This record gives sequence, C-alpha cells and structure tokens, in this order.
Amino acid sequence: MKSISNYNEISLKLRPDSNAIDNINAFNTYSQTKFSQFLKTNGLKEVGEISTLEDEVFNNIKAELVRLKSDCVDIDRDRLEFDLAIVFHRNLKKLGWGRWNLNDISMWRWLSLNYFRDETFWRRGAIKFHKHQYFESAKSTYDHLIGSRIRDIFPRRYFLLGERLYDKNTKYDLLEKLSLLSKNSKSGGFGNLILNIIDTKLISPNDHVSKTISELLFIQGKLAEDKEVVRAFVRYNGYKRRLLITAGKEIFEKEICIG
Amino acid sequence: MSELNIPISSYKKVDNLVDIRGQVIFDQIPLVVDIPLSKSISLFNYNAANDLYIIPRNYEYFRLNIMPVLATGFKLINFIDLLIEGENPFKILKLRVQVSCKSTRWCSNQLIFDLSEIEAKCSKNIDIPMSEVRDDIIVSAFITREKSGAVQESRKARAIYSVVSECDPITIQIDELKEIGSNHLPIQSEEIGDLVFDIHGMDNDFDLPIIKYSTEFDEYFKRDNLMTVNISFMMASFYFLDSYLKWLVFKCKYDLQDKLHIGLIELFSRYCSVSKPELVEIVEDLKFSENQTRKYFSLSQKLLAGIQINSGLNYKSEIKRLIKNEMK
Repeated sequence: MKSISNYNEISLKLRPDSNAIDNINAFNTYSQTKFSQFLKTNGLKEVGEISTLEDEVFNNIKAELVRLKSDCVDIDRDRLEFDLAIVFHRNLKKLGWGRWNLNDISMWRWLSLNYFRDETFWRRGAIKFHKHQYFESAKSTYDHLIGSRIRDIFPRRYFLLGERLYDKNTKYDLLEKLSLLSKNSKSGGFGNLILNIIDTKLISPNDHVSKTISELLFIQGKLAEDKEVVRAFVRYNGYKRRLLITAGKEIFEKEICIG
Repeated sequence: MSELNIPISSYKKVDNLVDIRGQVIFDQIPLVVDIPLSKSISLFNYNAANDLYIIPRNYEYFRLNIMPVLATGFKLINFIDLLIEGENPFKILKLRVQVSCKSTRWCSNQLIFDLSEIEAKCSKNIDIPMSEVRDDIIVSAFITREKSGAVQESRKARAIYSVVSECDPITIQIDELKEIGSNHLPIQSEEIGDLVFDIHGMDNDFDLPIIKYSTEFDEYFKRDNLMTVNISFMMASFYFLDSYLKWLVFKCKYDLQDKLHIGLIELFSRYCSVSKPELVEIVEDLKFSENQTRKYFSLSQKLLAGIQINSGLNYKSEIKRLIKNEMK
C-alpha cells in the first residue's frame, strides 16, 4: 500500500483559502483523475506500492458508493453514515485489514486523496457548493479528504465505525438495523452516536460498550435524541472507578442509557 | 444539580495490593521471556540469544502468561478493610486482567481470577493477535466488587464492578516507535561520511529535523543490549534534545493540530518542568526576541536536569549499573 511522506508540506500547499483559487476549484470541481494529477503537480510525495487487489477493492468501494448514491437520492446524506461504514468495512476486510491499520495515518491520507475526492465532495461539500458557498464547500471537502483531524479522514472514519459495530457472530446485523432506522426516521441522535464512537477512546472487549449503548439507545423501540446520547456517554465516562467495560445490558439500561 | 453531574460517592481504594507478574511466550520459536519487575519491556528486536532477534510483527500472535501475586507484606484477609462489614472478600472480590492497545483501541477479553487463585499462585494465558495491536500494549489489572453491597457504609464501595484496588500496569512495546509520542525522536541511518551522528532539517519551519546516524552502525544501533550503543545514545541525547528545543523555540511554526508538534511540546513540557500552555506561548512569541531567547536559556538549563531525571531512565542509576557490569 502507498503512503504520503510529506503530509505537513502538502497539507499547507493544498489548503483552500481566498488566495488559492486553484485549490478551491480542485476540491470542488476536479474529477479524481485531474485531482490526482493536481496532487502530483503540487509535490505530493508517496512511498510504497499499490497491488492489483488493493486497486480492485478501492474501485469496488467506489462502484458500491455510486449505487448507494443513486438508490438514496431522496435521503439526507447525514443519514447514510452506517451504509458507508458497511461498504468500507466489508470491502477493506477483503484486504485483511484490521485494527492495526488504523494508526497508519499517512496510508489513510494517501488512500483518501487518491480515490475518494468525488465521494468526500458529495458527502461533505456538495450541499454548500449548491448554495454557492464555494470556499466553505472546498474547506469542508479538504478537511475530510486530507484529514485535518485524523478522525475525519474519509475512508478511515467509516472503517473505524465498521470495526466498532461489526460482530463476529451477528456480522453487520447491528449496522444494518441502525442504517434502516437512520434512513427511515427524521429524528434520533445518530450523529452524536457516531461522533462519540469515532471520537472517544472507548476501549472494551469486542467493543461491548459501543455495541451495547447503540443497541439500547436505538434498536430497542424509541430512538434516543441527541441529548440522550450525549448524556449516556457522559455517564459512562463518569464512572472512572467502576470497570463497566464488560458489564451486562441491565447495568447500562439502569445506569447509563436512562434518557 | 446539573443533569450532567453524576453522584458518585467517594470510597476507600488502595492500589498495588496485588502485583502482576508474567511471561511472554512465542510458541512458534519457542521462546519464553520473563516480564521484568520494572513492568516495561520492548519485544521489538529483542535478543533471544545466539543472535536471534525477535520482530513480533513477523508472528501471528504471542501469548502472555499472567500470574498475580500478593504484594509483599500483604494478606488476602486485609481486603476486609475495603469491604462492607461482614462481607467475605473471597466471595465478593475478583481480580480482572485485560490487555489493551491505545493505538488501535483493541481490548482483550478479561481474565478473571478468584482471590483463592491468587493465593495459590495460579497463572492464566491470553493470546495477543498481532492483527489487532500496534506500537505497544498495556496489561492492566483491577480488583473489583462482583456483587452490590446490601447496605451503605461510608467510605466503602458498594456498587457492582467498583474498583477497590488497581495494580501497576505492564507496558509491552511490540513495534519500532518511529514517531514522537513519548521520548522518541525521528531517527534514520544515512551515508554521512566521517560522522557518526548528524541532524538534518534544522532550517525547516514545519517538518521536524531528523537525527541521522551513519549506515555503518545500522546493525548495532538497532540493538538495545549493547553497552556502548546505550551509553552513546544517552550522552548524545543531551545535544539532540537541546537541538530540538532550539528548533521548536526559534524555527518551528507551531501548528496545534500537528501530532508531531504536539508531541514535542509534551516532551519538553515534561523534561523542562514547564506547563504546556507556557511552553506554547514561548514558541509562539516573536522569533529571536529578547524575551524568547532568555526563556530558551532557562529551558535549556532545566533540560539538562530533566533528561537525567524525568526521561523514564534514571541516568545516575543506569550509569552505576553499566559501570558495575563493566567491572565484573
């Protein structure tokens, strides 16, 4: 796999601002091919090689995302996060990727920039672009494509969400249920759930905590609202002196996910 | 009361009542390595004898054999002090051991020991899959209540899973650490003529300078069991770190989102005994201003002591140890 070797330099060069119209155009309008050429012109340095299988898997992801976009034209893009997680996780697993890849940030940045400009623009920039907010659109695409914050790197975000909620026994069952609920309802604090799962350093065997909180807040009848999700994570993180990482559902029901 | 405040009563907790000992086992070689009493071991490039060096990443997994033992001078019956009156520690308490990796956010299943098993010096195994971990792993152990208490007693834990005692964690490094995260600076071998060490990139304003060492020493500098190598790096650290401090203060265009910049700030904050915000203020001051230069000299002076005391390696005792070894 390839990695970027000069992130600091390239991130400054590519940053869109009012004096860098080319950069704004690149993040808003370039095709992936033209964008990859633009990266080279700006001095992106890379190390490593990409295998045929890797290229095939990344292109499969792109093809599946095209289908997802066309199948869900009428659905708010914010509501497709779990579908994106399934697509990325299921495909990247074919490469044998696991958690130890998560910290290879230069690799994720290379992958994001060289394969997913169109998808990141669609997810993060397009709505702003259609409102003629060209700088904001480019900035948002830049932030998620290059990953100004590591947790935002487009493909990594969804792979991590997949790792958190995939289960060896039930496979993608939880993610599929959350995807359905998210797409079919107007309410629910799904955004905060994802933010907490991605952002916090929740550590538990088999991601028991992420799965249990997700199930209790969303799958069992009523959909939790934004504030309820935040409160659940605040409560969980508040128990510094209790080892709840393998606690049964009943503890989470009675003490953590209580609205 | 704010709805975000969680009422948690404070209770008595006494740490380090149980000591975690163990071994690392590579079935495939086979090799068994005792975890030292310092509770920290690097398995990367570990010299297993006869010039066999272990690279854990080359194996699918390795095994940890964990054996908890009571701290010196302590008896299990003493746990009664941490419990509600009338409770039997053997029925209420258990020891839970888990292995986690911060880089990948992986966590093993927990090993659970009854107190009687600690008394009998039982050991249990846990396999560490290499596909799930990276850089280093931490073995943590906790003594927890496994039942809720029937009555409330002041300063005593009552809720199920309350931790009444934590054990000193064990840190196991499994990969080569290339980035600053603790006290690791970027270092590479290169053809540098007659020099043993050099530092390239001191004029950069964003990318960190890189320590270079002659490729002729490649074979030796990657080993951590050579006295000459260890002492060379210990002594060179004074100059290396002072150079990085100069770079950070006078050249670096500090970016608060850059992991490596943040790493340097954390490093020098610890070594120079200065708060992070204070250090950032010095770095962001007008470059080469009188104030900044004065502050640098003060930091540099503190750094000399900090390297010897706050670096995780006590120079005084390490040098004593090396001298003793040499005189044998």
